[in-house]
Amino acid sequence: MVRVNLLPREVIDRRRFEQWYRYVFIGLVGGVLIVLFAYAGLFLMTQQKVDDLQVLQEEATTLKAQADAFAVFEVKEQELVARSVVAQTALAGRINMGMLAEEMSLVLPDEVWLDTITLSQDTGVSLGGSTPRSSSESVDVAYKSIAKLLVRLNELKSLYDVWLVSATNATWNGWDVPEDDPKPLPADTVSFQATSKIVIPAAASTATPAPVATGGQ
Amino acid sequence: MKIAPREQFILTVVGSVLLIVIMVAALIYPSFNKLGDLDTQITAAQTEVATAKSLLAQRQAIKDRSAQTDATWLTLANQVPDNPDLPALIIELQDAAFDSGVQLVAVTPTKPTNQGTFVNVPVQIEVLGSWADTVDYLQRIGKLSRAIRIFSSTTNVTNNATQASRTNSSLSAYAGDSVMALEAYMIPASTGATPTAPAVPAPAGP
Repeated sequence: MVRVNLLPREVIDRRRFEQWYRYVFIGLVGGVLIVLFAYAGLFLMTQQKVDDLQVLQEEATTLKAQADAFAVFEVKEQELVARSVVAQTALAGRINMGMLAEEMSLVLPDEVWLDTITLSQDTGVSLGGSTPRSSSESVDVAYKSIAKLLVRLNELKSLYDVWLVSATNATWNGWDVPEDDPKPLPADTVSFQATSKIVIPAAASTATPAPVATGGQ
Repeated sequence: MKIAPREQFILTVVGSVLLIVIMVAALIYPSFNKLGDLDTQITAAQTEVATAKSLLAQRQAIKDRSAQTDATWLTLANQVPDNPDLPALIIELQDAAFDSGVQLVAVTPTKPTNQGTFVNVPVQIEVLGSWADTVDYLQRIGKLSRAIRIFSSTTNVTNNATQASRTNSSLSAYAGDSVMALEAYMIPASTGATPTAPAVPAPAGP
């Protein structure tokens, strides 16, 4: 048996496409639902992130407030550091004159005495003194004592460039005795003058470099 | 105008796709943009929190050592006060002289000189005493709570009875007459100091 479709081609096409409309509708609804679900998911994620951001911002605000409350301690410490730097600058290169004077006292030969001693940060050390003189050549006094003094001074780490300015025969008459007592006879001495430079402490190296000690005399 | 069923179907499909595309463009795309912005803000906020935590930890540590800082402040304020503080300086010099055994003969402050960030307070003193006592005095000056630079010290033997008797009749023979040029320092409060002692006006000069 032969079946003959007598419907017009237009009707046949319409019916065929009408069947496909169902799938298009299903696809459209499915697509819309997917989009809506995705939007809902994204909305939830956005809300979660907004909440997270708010928590973080509140935490940051709280931490900043706590840090600000402690800022006064930081400011005080910074001021202390600034003043310490200024104080170090002011005190840089201080020479311990007390220790230097004691060192010089310790190395001073017994037979040498000083009439004047000047310790100066700028000009260094200046000594003036005397030592007994004897006519005997075999005695280790007089100029030998002065040489001994120079050697000992030069060995001090605080001093350099130890120089003898002058040493001359002299007569010393500076006895300090009561007026009623007889005054001893003037003594034969060698009067001398010596100088030296003082090593500036290393802390002052930026402003005043410590000189390299030379041999001196 | 009559549209063929095929074209009608195609239009329907295109319309549906267009609708979905519009929905994606209107809903999904902005959401992603917003999420991206939020991620950026969260990263920035996390950095801010980390910075704030670090700052807080740093300041907490500073606060924990504030007692030590205060002690250092006090020491520094004694060493280099924010005013000449001559009374305390003179008292310290006198006490040190007494402890050393030398006699303080003269104290002559001169006008402070500004050195920029700090101020020099020159003081010249004269003491009488044995050389050993004078050395001890020099060492004690270096240990005073007020930081002092001994700029120079000149000692002359004084066995002149007239000079000795004018100040101290008990002075031993061959004592030393020492003139010391000292320098004390002060840091003006503008450098960042908190006043620690009442200001003392600078002397007008010797």
